[in-house]
Amino acid sequence: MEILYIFIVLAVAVSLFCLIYYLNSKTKKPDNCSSLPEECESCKVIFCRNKKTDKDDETKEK
Amino acid sequence: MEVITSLVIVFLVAMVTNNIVLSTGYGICSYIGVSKNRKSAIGMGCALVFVVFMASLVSYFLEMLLVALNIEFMQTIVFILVIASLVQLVEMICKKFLPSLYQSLGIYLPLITTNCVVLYVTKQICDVEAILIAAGVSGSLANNGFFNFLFAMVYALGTALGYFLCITLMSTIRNRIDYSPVKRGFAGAGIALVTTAIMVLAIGGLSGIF
Repeated sequence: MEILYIFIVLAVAVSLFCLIYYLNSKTKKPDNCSSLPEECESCKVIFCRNKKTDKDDETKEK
Repeated sequence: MEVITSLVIVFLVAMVTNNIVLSTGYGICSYIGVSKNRKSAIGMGCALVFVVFMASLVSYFLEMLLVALNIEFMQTIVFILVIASLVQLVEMICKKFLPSLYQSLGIYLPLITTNCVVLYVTKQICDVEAILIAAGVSGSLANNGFFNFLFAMVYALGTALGYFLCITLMSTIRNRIDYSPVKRGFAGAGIALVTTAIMVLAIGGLSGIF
């Protein structure tokens, strides 16, 4: 019986996680917040505040 | 009256005297990483307080269920899944309603999943008697089911706020360090760790106050 409980508890927990993960991936990211790896110029700069617009401004200045 | 006093003591011990970062060293990775910027530090602290409290609330009842089903050994794996789900939920809420916080937290928000503070607290609240004894309060108070729950939640909130206090203080100190002449070898993480060591000494001086 315990084996069955283990499977039920695990199935519920995993399916809850999958559902929330799916909903999260479907939620649109805020504007100006592009994906990190494309925007990061250095490994130290891992904040999402490196916006595309900032980069555009820099290229314009150059 | 005894219960209220005990609650206050448990809260203060969890938050200050037995501060999770400064006395045990849990969560030091995000503490050093995010404290560079004050805004991000406050955001990270708030996100962690929310996740810890919610995770504790859910895992307290989950633990009861696991005990009833006689499968307590599943505790860790179930708690990890619950924490991961909650972090995804917080990320979703931030994306939708708090875009500035989402932007400033960046990669650190999903990393709360691997923050050992959350798992530590959720596992600790399953043994309220040990929490009370560590705080120097009579362990017999844990016999009442409602008080047991109350103490667990107060402990979880105190620990999370302790992390918040610690990371906010550190970000303020590092903000001042940025304007100070620091030797090249010490700059960055080096001076942050030295500062943390001084903070540990300061907090260590309060141990045994209650």
